[in-house]
Amino acid sequence: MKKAIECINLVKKFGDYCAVDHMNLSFEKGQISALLGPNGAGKTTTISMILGLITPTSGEVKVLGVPSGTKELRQRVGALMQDVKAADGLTVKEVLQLFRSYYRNPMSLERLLDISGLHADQKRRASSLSGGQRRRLAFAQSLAGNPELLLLDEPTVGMDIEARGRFWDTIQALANDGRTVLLTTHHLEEADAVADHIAVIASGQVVAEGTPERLKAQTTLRTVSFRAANAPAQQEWLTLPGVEKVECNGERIRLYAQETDELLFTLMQSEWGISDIDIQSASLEDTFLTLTGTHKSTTIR
Amino acid sequence: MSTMFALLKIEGKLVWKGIDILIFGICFPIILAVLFGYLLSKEASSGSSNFELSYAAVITIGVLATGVMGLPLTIADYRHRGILKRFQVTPVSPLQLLFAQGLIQLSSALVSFVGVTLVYYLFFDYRLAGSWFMFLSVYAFVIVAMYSIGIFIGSVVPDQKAANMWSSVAYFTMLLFSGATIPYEVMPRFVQLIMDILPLSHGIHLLKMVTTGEAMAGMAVPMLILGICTVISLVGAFKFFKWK
Repeated sequence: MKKAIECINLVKKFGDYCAVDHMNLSFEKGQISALLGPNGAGKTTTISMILGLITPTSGEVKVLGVPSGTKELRQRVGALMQDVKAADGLTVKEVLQLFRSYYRNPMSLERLLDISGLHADQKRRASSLSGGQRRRLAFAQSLAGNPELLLLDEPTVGMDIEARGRFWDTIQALANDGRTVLLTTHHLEEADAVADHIAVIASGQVVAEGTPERLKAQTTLRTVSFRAANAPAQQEWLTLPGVEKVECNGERIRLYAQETDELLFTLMQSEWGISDIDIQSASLEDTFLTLTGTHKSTTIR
Repeated sequence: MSTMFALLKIEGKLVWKGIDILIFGICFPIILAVLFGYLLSKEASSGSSNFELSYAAVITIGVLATGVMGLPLTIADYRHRGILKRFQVTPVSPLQLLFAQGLIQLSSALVSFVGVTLVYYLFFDYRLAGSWFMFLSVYAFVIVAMYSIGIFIGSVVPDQKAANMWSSVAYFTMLLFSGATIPYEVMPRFVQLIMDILPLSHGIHLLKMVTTGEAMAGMAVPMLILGICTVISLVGAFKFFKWK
């Protein structure tokens, strides 16, 4: 599969502060990819370099096979930025028509209105829209050029649940059309549900990447929770096979372990009166916290 | 629809909908032209009358309002809203947007110019004594100088509040102390010395010379001062422009 975005040994320094630190990252064409990381991890700096808005201190960024930031590339790439407002006095339709006029092969106005769900509001002034509606309009603006690659920085901020649902459906439909989507988001469960590929960054470095399933499987502990009628002392739980952490809440015990088969066998063989067992896989949020909290010791390549 | 045409259409709508440009850029100079027509003496004791000299001053008010007030405020507003940043990721350069904005502001200044000229010509029998070609060339030069000051202010101010403050300072100072509204000739000598610092004073001085058909010899120094002001403003704007 061809690469849509390639960051090769990318570095960006602001004075002494290194926002992006020798980052090697790539995203495949036709996939939905997510860039996750805590605040200050370097997500927006990375996206800005991919868009050609800022120049790397060193390293290289290739977008759709060519160096980032060229005028020709801007015909093929759509971007949804944070904190962008429309000019006062323009209607929704005028904003979209204006953006369509910038591109050689624009998406139809009808489709943009469908995607944004702003058909009924096309004659309203953009400045009078609610926060979520403005975000949907900004999303439609990013699609005005019918882009091959779509970069979305925190796309669902301000959207209500219904709008977010429609937004993710649209993203899925755009990917099914063969477009590449790269997004940053704080809604980890949404990235988990929609992304084919996730890269987790912290302190300007890639700390893990892969499919959501692979990330979760490789980096986090499963939990086994149960009731124990004759529970031993808390330290004794830590001697059980694979157990790395224990939480006790009255009779309810929660054990965290990489592998649970042997642990379950041991528990069932014990005389602690185990009942009401519940086993849970890690969520992407657990993975995220594990990776970004202690990334230096849990880096996965 | 070409991109520039779309930009001009949208920017035109935004600018022309604003009441500020109508009041400060168009109505104010036209009303002032009418007042000067009635109040100022048309008797020329030596050279030109005060009324004839006032034409060169009043036609700069629209330029001042659009160039030094309208342009920097719009640039600061677009920066504040992230519109300039947004343009950086489209095939259209933000410079094209600013160029379109400049053209629309200029169109307002030209409407003001035509309105003032019609008042002077139709109601008060004013006639330009010098060459129209020379006059329009100098007028264009003054426009470039004033707009470059506006672009400089809009480029370097950190936010809208600062844009408001600095464009107001530049606008009102030049409006009152360049001879645009209160004639240079009636000011005391020490105020005239202060007025000589302001670029628009030199612009109006040049325009007075070309509208009255005076000798070209005295034009070199004001031309040089306006030229230096233009170059410094544009270089400064280019060097310190903030996209966001």
